[in-house]
Amino acid sequence: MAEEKSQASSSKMLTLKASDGVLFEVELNIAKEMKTVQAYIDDCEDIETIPIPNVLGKHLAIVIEYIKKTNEEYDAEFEKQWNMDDLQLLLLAANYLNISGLQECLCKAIAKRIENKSPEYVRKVFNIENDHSPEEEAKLRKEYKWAFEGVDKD
Amino acid sequence: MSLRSIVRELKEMRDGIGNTSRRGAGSRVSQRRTKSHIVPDMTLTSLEPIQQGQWANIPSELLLDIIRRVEETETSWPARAVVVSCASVCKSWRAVTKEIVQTPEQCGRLTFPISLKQPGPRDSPIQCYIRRDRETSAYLLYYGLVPSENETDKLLLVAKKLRRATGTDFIISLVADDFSRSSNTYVGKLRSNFLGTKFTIYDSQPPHGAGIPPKSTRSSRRFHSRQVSPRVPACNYIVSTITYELNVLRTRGPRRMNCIMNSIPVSAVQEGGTAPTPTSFPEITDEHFCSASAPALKGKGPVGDLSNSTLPVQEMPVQSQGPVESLVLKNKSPRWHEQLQCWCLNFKGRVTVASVKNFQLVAAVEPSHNVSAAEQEKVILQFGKIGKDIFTMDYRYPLSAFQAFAICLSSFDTKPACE
Repeated sequence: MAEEKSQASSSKMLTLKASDGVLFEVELNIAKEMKTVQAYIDDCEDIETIPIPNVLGKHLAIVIEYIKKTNEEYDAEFEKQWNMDDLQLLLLAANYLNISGLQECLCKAIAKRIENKSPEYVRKVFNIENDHSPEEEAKLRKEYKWAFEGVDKD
Repeated sequence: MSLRSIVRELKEMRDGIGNTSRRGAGSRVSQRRTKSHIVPDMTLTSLEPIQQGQWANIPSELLLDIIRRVEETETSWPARAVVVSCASVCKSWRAVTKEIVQTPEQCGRLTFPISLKQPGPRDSPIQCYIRRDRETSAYLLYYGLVPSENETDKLLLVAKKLRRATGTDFIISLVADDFSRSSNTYVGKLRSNFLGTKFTIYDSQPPHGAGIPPKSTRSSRRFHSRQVSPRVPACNYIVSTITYELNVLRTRGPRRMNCIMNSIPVSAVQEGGTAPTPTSFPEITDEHFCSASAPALKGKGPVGDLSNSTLPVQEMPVQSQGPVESLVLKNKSPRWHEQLQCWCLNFKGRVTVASVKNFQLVAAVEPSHNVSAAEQEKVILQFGKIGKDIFTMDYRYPLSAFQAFAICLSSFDTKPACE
């Protein structure tokens, strides 16, 4: 412990504990990219293990990897690997941990996946229920017919 | 309270909750604020890791971010249809999408069908073209400068010409395969008199803000105040009357157009003025049709005689400042070009074939109206031929696409008596 303290602060290590108990040792400067964690550290300086109660180990690993490697090229390839469920959970993780760069990257990716898609497709892929009333539905059908007239179906 | 102690507390609560549904658990966690810099919203997520299929529950600021990116990326048609998709997914997506999308006046883009009933931008026109299909007597309005090579242009409105004993009707619809007046794709119509010198534009909804249904014994005047869209009887409301007159030079000079915009006050072109901007189509209550004038505006200028119609004229209850004056549009006078020996208007490249149908409309105002010179110069509607059966139509504030289209249709129907 004493040895670690005498080294430069950038190599101080921190442990993050995911919701399923998986532990990650990260450098302080990496952890600080997560503003939520930063706030935690500011609040209790001596902390060594920080619980991340609603992010699974699998996703926390991806988030940490992102922070370490992020650049334009990496980001462009990053979002292609994940299916919609993972994207959603990663987005919620990025939002909770308050990592603006990752949040932006994921929002962009999700927006791109909606391009040229019908509402039925969006509902299916995002697993959303259509909660419009029958009257509203009739109105929407008119809008839809007009918007998609002549456009190829997905 | 420190973040660490909150987490500890929540952990204890989670252990105690056991098999309760995750949604329920999430909402039962009480909100506590601490003095920490940034407190994550614990109530947003349940204490268990988020499970699949909960997009409906993602925080609204994330949904806003995603949909905003979609809207900002897909600015042109046909890709822009995705914005309409987003607005159809579910109630929360619709609310967010409607919040993001601006009117054509604000952003110069057409998004929902209602965009066609809203005024265009002030600074530069929205550019469209009309294709005439002689076989089906249809007129199709597309968004775009000129027909594109691959025919992917967005179809905006379609008009079908119907000859009657006493004149002609152009029925205007959102789609090409349905011109029924009881359909929810019916937008309005243009009706001409027998001679083709006088036209009336009817809208299927009253001007925004009027809110008063026309007098009719057959309609049921039910207003559901909770609904955003007013329920109105299926009716036709006059929004404009157009007259064509021969030039003093008869057939050798351009004809004169006069459009009284019953639904747009002259204040719309004055400093700080606005034009009616409906935000949704109304819901039609019943199938009986009646006709009435838009509860509104006294027109100025040669109204001529409308006795060929048997319309009950309903006037709006007079406002405290008295009845409101309508905006009148007239066509810009062409100049005689001595060398070319023809009448010329500067269409800025948007019209390439000479035709008596070509015109430019500007506001007809008097000094007492206090309309700036710059505003008076603005060409509010420009229409002209660029090829066989293809015409360009450029419109801007305070006209909407629907009004502009209907005015242009009148140019197709004027008779030799006028040419």
